[in-house]
Amino acid sequence: MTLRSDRRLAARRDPLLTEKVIFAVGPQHPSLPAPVRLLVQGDGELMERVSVECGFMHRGVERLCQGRSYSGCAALLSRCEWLAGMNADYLVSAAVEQLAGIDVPDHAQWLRMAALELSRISSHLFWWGEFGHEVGAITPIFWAMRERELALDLLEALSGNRWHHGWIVPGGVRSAPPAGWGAQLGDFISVMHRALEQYEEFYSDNAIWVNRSELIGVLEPDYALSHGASGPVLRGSGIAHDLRRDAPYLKYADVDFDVPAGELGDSLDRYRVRVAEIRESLRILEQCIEHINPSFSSGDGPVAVNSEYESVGAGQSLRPGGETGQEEGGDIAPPLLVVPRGETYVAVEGPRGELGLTVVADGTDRPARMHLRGPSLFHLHLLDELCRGYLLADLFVILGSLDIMLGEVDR
Amino acid sequence: MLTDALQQLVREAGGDALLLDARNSRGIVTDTTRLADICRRLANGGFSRLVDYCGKHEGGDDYTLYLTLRHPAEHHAALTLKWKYTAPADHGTVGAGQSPRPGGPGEPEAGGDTAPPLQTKNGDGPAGNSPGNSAAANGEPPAPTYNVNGGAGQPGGTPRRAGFAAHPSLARVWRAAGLCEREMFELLGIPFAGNDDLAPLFLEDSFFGHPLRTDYELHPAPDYAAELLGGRRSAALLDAPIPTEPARPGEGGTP
Repeated sequence: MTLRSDRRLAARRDPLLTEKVIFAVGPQHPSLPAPVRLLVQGDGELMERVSVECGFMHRGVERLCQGRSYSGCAALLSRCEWLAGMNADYLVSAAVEQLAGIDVPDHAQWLRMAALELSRISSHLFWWGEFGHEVGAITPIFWAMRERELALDLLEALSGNRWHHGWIVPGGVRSAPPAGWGAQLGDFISVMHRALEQYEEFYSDNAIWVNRSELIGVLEPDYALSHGASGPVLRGSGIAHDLRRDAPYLKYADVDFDVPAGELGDSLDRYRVRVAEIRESLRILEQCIEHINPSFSSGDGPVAVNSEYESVGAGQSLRPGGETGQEEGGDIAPPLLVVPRGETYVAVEGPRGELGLTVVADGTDRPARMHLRGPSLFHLHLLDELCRGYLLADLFVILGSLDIMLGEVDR
Repeated sequence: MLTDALQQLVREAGGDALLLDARNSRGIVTDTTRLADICRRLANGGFSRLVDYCGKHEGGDDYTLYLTLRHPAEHHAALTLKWKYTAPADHGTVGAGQSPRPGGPGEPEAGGDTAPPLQTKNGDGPAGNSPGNSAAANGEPPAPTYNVNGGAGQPGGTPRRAGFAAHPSLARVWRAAGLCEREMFELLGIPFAGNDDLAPLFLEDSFFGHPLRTDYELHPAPDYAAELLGGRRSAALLDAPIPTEPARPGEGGTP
């Protein structure tokens, strides 16, 4: 609670005697992204406090990770970020690569970057449709799903899966893109540019859309910084911090893109930042296309080539003493990685903010500890401050503008 | 990679060990009695953004804690610190600097990472700047102690003794630390002195134990099918012939 929200609450309080009520929202509610319970204390319709109760889908993922291989951990963690699970795959791979000193070839880095940006776009599209619901429009979710299907088609062509990909593996990516994938990506980019114009023409300046979100849920930059906000929520408050630019990984240092930031920190700013981010992601994808090597075909096997992990194939062990990666039928199963002892923190700029992973490796093929830093956990607990002094009807607009992923929270 | 100015800032805050790995911006807090002071210096120096704060249970009452900070004024440069909390010898199963897992990750590392214990309930640790330590050093009531696990007979619990001092909370230095400490208290059983809100975050109120501790025993899920079927195993039920209701007189069937 801040002085500013106290003043907002005092200024808007109805001078007439209103009834103090407590609304229990959830854990099952049509406007909630996943099971979570919000206890809203209201003075009439004015929200005074919002208390968050989470844990309804806590699965003990961090505990489960301690008994599984690194590839198994990636599969579990991608279930925590199901709208952009590619980020979790990347985090585990990046941590293993850092601990084991593995270099990733350039073309694999470009491919990873393209996949991560596609994941970001598909996640933002889902959010855009959901946010449209919250502000009172039914059409956006249909439009968003229409374009999102195209992004998922591209990701499916890469990995064989539409949601949980497992395509980014330590050392590179699991398989090269199929022939013509770059051309399909180019088509998707042009479709998305047209779609974004359509979105913005219909909604971004729509009176209802703006009035429902402008100056609603204002987040002060200092409060955002001190309470762990990141990603579009932080950028919406005017702090243009993006890991892709400030701590570049993959090939982000080699591409041109802007980091959009808001001015007022309200729900509308967070909306505009995310829509601008879709455009920037398309810009990045355009620059990726020219670096995606068209000579690779899907028969080339894992795109993971370096001195130590070279020629991982039939019957070969990834490391002396490690288990074989050979399965019956001649396919190469994901090898069990033996990761040297060490600790690391790796982070990626996910669609919702800084997605981080702390890994403690004890020299075996299973992590001793793995901790996922999910931005949504911090954002969800901003609700109390963001909602104070606004009307109950604004609750879901504010919640929608935060783009909460409950899987990151209840991991 | 931190800039030279930031490296200097980090060294001034806590010595060279705080920046053991300058390339990857990682360091170790060797003098945990100065932990709160070091953190305040870093926060005042511009590391005002706490990104992540998590822990790992090493066995007994020993923990390793990991803290990741960012410096907003310097392109949000990251710094990851770790330190070990080692239980006092007369309170824990292992003493200060001893490894609960010989050769394992809890083994003291080179570089003096054998942290002295924080102040305990009886005042048998060195005084420091943590809330509990300073209070005991000034003759004030001892630091709060917690029984982090319960007694025997509880599902998932391991019998443990009470009387182990709380770790100093960093919530007053970084507000975001409060939420992380709440999670760590729940999942790892690390109590934080000075954090007023350590209410359950993820687990239901009736849940017993701290599932990320190494001594937490995972129990198989109860066999609800057997319970519902009056003690019969479901497999045995499948093998058994399906009981049929005998036909009533006059309703057909074989005479």
